[in-house]
Amino acid sequence: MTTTPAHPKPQPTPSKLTRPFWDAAKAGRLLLQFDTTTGRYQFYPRPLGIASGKPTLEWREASGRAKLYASTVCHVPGRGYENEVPYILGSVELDEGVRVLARIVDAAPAAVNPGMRLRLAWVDTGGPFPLYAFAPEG
Amino acid sequence: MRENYLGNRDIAIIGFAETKYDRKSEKTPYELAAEVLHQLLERTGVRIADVDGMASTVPTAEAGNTFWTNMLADTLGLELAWSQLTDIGGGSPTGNVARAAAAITTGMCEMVFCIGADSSAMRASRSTGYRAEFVDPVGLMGPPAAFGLLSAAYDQKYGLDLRALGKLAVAQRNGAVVNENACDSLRKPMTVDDYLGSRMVAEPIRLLDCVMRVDGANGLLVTSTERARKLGQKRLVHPIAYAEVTNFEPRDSLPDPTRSGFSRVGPAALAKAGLTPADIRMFHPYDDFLIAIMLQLEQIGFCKPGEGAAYIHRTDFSPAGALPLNTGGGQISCGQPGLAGGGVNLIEAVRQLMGEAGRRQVPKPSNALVTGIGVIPYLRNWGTSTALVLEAA
Repeated sequence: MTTTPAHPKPQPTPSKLTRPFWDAAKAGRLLLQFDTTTGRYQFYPRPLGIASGKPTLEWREASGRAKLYASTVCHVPGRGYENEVPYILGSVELDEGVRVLARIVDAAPAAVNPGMRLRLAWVDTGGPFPLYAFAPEG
Repeated sequence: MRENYLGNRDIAIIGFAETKYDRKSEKTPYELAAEVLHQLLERTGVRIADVDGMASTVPTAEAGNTFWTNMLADTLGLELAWSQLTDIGGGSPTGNVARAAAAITTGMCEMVFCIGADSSAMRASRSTGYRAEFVDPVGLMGPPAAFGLLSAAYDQKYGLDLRALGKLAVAQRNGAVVNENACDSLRKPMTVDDYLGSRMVAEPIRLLDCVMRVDGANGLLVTSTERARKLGQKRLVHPIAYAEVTNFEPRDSLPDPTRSGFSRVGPAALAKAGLTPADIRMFHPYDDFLIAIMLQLEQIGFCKPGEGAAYIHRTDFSPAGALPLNTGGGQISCGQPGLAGGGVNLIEAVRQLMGEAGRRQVPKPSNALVTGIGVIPYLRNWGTSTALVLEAA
């Protein structure tokens, strides 16, 4: 079997808004925005609270505890993931009440089921920032 | 609800046109748009100097061009009193009919060239915003993977009946076989087993769930009914009701992705038209993935949520059937001409209503419901839903 060289994986380019998120990722901390007006978390990071329309946002560290909402086994890769098929992508529901699109790692497709408990993991994608991912709990 | 500005049948579509849908046409969107304009002028006898409005979709091939409207008008020789560039993805062509009608109704212009043209193969658009930072790095392979997640959510809630989706695939393919404008590589008959056996892309999305990108263009001429009559136009199609939503329920961080804006705009457009689903003569739903058709049947009210598969199994979607559906093949069997894709099923509906569908003509084509879908958001259902009711004059 020949391996074709993969494209590099796309890397995030932090903006002024998202720089704290990616700096925290380097320290293994997943940050969420918390809107002090509504008491609600949100993900991905945005300039305003989506339920308040106000910039009353602060960064809070996620517990890393989550469950799987839905998943798909990808057989056709996203750019940069050519050598990793098949791989699992999940819509991951954090205990803080937001969903995150992320790789499900350390799990065989047959062992991945909706509702299963997940924990935060980090993967190296060849760039300056570790990327959040999730693995089966325990 | 505001008064329905389309309810008096004051607006008329007087012509439709489309190019052959083709892979690697080596044509630019300008050239493809010119083919559509030429066809429209020939078909209607309208003079180019009488076209004073243009509503277009943004082509992926021109995604970096912030002067698309002017450059297209310059290329085509159009002087415009009103112009509109719509970027709500596959919702744009249906949306442009409503926008053109509003512009004509308010006296901004009289004769609008609605155009979608794209040669998607020429230049891929680059991600920006949250897609570049929180989607692409994770490895999401575009719409198929997003629909894989959506389909998984549907499967958990209701159970996914693949044979029902396969029936939709076959019904549309039968239309493409007799549609000379459909992409030639898709004009081969297929079976439900062909669908089930097609290779997996992002489970449970298979290759034959998905659209294939092609080059092509489609367009309409829209004017006032009064002007159409003065010009002696014989075949008129009235847009009689329209509803649209972009970014449906954005403030819910734990949305149900099996619900979309169609649960709102479907019933809204039908209510404005004074119709129920049972009154709809034919249905031309936007089809980027087969499951999107089933979700629309449920959310517009042809059947209840979760009962789409049962409805599909008991309904004949052929031109002679109870609810003719995407009779020209839909995008899934014609090809998706990039961001002109939302026009494929719109054009087919107008063709049917004008009685020009030949071997696939629906008998007594009194009205049609046409929809548009636009843009995949972050872990929710699609971003834009549009519903347009058309009526033969």
